[in-house]
Amino acid sequence: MTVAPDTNPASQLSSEMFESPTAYAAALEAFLSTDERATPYLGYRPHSLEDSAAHLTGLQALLFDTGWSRLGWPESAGGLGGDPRFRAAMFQTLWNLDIPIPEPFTTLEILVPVLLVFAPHLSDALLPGLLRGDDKWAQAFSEPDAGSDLASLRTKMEPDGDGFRLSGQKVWSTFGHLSQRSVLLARSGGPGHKGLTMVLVDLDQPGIEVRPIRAEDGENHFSEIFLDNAWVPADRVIGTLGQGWAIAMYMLQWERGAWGWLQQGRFHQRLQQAVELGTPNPEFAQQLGHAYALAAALRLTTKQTVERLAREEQLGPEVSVDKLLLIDAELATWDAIRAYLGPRFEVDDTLQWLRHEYLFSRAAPIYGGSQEIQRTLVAQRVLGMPRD
Amino acid sequence: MDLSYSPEAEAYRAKVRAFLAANLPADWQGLGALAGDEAEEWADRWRDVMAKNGFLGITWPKEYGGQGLTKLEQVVLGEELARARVPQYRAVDTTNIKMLGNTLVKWGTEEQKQKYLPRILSGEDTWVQGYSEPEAGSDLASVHLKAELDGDEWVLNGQKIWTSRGMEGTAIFLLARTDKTAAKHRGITFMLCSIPTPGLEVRPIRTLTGVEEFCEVFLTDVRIPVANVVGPVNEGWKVANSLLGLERGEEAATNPIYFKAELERVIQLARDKGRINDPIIRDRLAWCHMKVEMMRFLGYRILTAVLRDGALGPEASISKLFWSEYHQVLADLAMELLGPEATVREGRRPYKHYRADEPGAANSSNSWIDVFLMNARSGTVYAGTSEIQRNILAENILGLPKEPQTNS
Amino acid sequence: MMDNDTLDMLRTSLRHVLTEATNVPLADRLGELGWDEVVADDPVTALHTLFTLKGDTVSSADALGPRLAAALADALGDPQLTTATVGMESPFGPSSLTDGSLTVDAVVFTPPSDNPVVVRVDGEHLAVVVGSALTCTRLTTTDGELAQFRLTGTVPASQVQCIEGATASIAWSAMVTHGRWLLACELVGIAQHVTDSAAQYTGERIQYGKPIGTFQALQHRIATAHVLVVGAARLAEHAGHSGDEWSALVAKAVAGQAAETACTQAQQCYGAIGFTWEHEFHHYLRRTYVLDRLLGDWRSLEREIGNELMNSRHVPKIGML
Repeated sequence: MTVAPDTNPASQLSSEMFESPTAYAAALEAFLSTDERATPYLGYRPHSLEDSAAHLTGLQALLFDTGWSRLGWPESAGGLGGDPRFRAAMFQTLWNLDIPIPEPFTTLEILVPVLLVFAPHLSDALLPGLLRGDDKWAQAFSEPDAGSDLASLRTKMEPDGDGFRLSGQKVWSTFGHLSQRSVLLARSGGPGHKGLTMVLVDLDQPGIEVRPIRAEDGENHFSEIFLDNAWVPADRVIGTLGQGWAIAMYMLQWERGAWGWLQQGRFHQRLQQAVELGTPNPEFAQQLGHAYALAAALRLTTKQTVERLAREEQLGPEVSVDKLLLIDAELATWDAIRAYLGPRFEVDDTLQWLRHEYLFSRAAPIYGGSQEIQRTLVAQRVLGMPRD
Repeated sequence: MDLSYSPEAEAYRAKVRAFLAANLPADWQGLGALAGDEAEEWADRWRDVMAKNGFLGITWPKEYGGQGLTKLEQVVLGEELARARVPQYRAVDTTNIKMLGNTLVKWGTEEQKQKYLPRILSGEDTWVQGYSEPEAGSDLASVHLKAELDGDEWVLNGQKIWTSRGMEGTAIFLLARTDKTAAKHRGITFMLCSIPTPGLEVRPIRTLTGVEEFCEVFLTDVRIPVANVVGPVNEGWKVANSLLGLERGEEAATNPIYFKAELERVIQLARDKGRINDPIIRDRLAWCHMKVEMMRFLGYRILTAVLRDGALGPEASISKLFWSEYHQVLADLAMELLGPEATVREGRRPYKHYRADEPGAANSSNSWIDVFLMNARSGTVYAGTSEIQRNILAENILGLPKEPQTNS
Repeated sequence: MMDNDTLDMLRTSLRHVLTEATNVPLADRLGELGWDEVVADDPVTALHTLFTLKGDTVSSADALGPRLAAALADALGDPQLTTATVGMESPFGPSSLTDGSLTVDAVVFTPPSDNPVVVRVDGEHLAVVVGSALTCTRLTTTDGELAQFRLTGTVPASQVQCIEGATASIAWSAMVTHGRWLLACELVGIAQHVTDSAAQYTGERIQYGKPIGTFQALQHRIATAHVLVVGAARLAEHAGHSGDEWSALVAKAVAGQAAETACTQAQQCYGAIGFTWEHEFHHYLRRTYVLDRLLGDWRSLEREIGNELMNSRHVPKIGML
């Protein structure tokens, strides 16, 4: 692990903090809890997704300018070096202080590690803007007829001069209507896995229309993206033509592993809020204990995954275990919180945000590869059960 | 759904009650109150009393020793016996009377009925079942037991397994493959074979709880006269399945009574252990009570359909899933209430090794350990696993498409 | 720390020791392996390996008893107690110390002969009494192979050494923590074995013309078990390294649940054969059932966790990056 000296004049980082993620986390916690620029974010409760996006962009800028969020990313891409554990430690620290993680960070965690390997020219050029919040990206894989069965997707990608034209429809694109760009999977060749290519496309162009979808909790979590002869230059291809499926599979280890770590921090934080708000009652002891035990199991399992990613180990299908544990922990956590807080959870105006998170938690078995798909992967690829 | 019974059925109910009042000891607690051999002996004696008073095989025609009554009266009899906490007969009579007897009534030749039915009722013959095979479990129709015709005898070679109470059998009814070229569900024939017969060997299997409840049956060149075929040759699958309707209809009515009695024991256990005021325990007991009540109404629906249509609808799958999964939750609760005692075996062991034990059982740790390990856990496996039931439910009730061939 | 080759060799030797048919006590056979040195060198890896393998092989050797004594002796700083037998909670009632005498009711895994016996009295103090003063009877348990004995008797107070107050409580907690960690390892060993064996069985068992493991219903059952087993394994590893009370509590809670879940899911995949002595599975099921109930079953441990969270109003995090 090499770490670059931080030459940014606004930097808050000193060399000791680079020694271990634990030292870094402690210093970051001290900074965020004392520096008045961080005050607006402590215990911040958004009124809406759009409000949250606007407000937390300021936090992204603060963390970037002071150097904190640059640790864990390579220097070539505007980072300060260090392995992904530093990023994981940052997320844990934000949750500890009840600071919501800006949505772009979660997207970053999934998309940028892929770019670093398959399209370093893009990560080198674009990571700083993304980290700082100047630029926001979405992910557009699913289509109306390609959900769990991703290999059947149909968005067309055809060569045109020194680039490509895209036509089709994408759906369930998180944060799509607030993003300037999207990583997108399209069909550049024949049917099946091998005809797919991954690109980074600009959303603010005439051939593209983005329409938000209002989710159960009333927020515009997702978007549909309509592409009609949209343009993407050749240097925006991630990897090579036809490599899209392989890259998407590579991405999963981050989506399932690093994401799990980020989320366990949230579950611990929300359980903390619940025990602060609630009145002790043995009737709920087992439900809370069960949720906590699953969150702890998730924490240690994803901790190991993050450490393996930090050692640059290639992860296999076993990361589906992380995702499945996350589903169990997420559902159990919110069920327990709702039960423990009782009627207050349902009617207290100040807990609206908590109710939104509850509703959104119901999506855990669906997003990022459904529970059914993950279980099938674990059974067949990890445990060697027979395939039909 | 019609919750009232006919006047004839109610009149029969009164007759059963009078019989029970006259024949049961005044302080009768239920067969569960007796331990081990004592319970077996009592059940044997009781069966004789039932037989002498005309309460066995009541739907069979009078000329074969039955009473010529309807299925509804059979249900009424089942209900009253369950309420009085007495069994209908010995455990082995489930295959003897309920399965083979009823099959012969429906499919047997005149000669077969005259020969076997009275001997079944008198207890001279005890029939056990030979359906499952090592390779034919859930996929029961893939029967391999080979049967070849040689003159006027079938020659059988192969193996049967999971024969309940096989060691008590004086005869066995078998499903054998008589036409290898036919489709799986065809080419099976229902046959009768006495025990002992040269070439037929019955070996007990030791179960999880150490009880020898099941047997394996090995057949080597066993010769069976063609006269011992029940129903048409190659139609054995149909013969075997025709029984299910009546059997499940009656079960649907009596199950809730047994499960209710069992739940009352658990409530008593909660009292004995000083947990009855624990809100979580009360919550779980109330949940169990609701399930048993739901089971009762589900039972009425199934029963109504069986009596109306003469056949069992796919709702039976709901019932099977419902009670078997309920029973595992109940058994967990009982074990939890036992606390540290749950690992130390003491007292009487259950009389029955499936579903709820006979009513009246003491709350000994042994009675619950065995119910937990065997009765409850095996409920989701025997008589069609939960997976099979859910497939039936999804495909035949909800109309979902057949399971796809996944290749993800 | 042990390197991988050493660990593999250790596993092979331990597997042999755990599965050989003999009446020689496990401690003596381990002694021949140079076990004490292995434990002194890297206790966490050594004990984790031993107990996980013990679960995997469903060995009935008494490995736990000596470890509980060692933990208690260590916490009390009394090396003589290393040879003691620690009495666990008896289903028949507590031990108590009145003015004149000690009444013992406790459960142990090995008869104490004339070694000292330590029992917890009145839920707080510890009493030490010589084993020969007590009556020892073998219990008939759900797991007939794992020996458990009931110790009973009344001993005059003059023959009892009493350890009181905070010293006793702290030492007992340390022992419970150690025991919970080891039991978590053993339960994880069982759960892994059961899950892997069932996965293999479903590949061999043919129904409807194909292996039953091709059916999604069974794949999802086994996958569900595996996920919890992985989580339990991570917690058990961590509990060993951290040695703290809270981690051991959570590890034992999840391990008990994982083993029970693995057994339930596997048994459904085995079908009828899983209910007989024809197949090895029943050993694992009955062992799980007994081990889960030692030092707190998973449901009561979950309640303990929940009560602690509510009352302390603090949600601790296990494991730092």
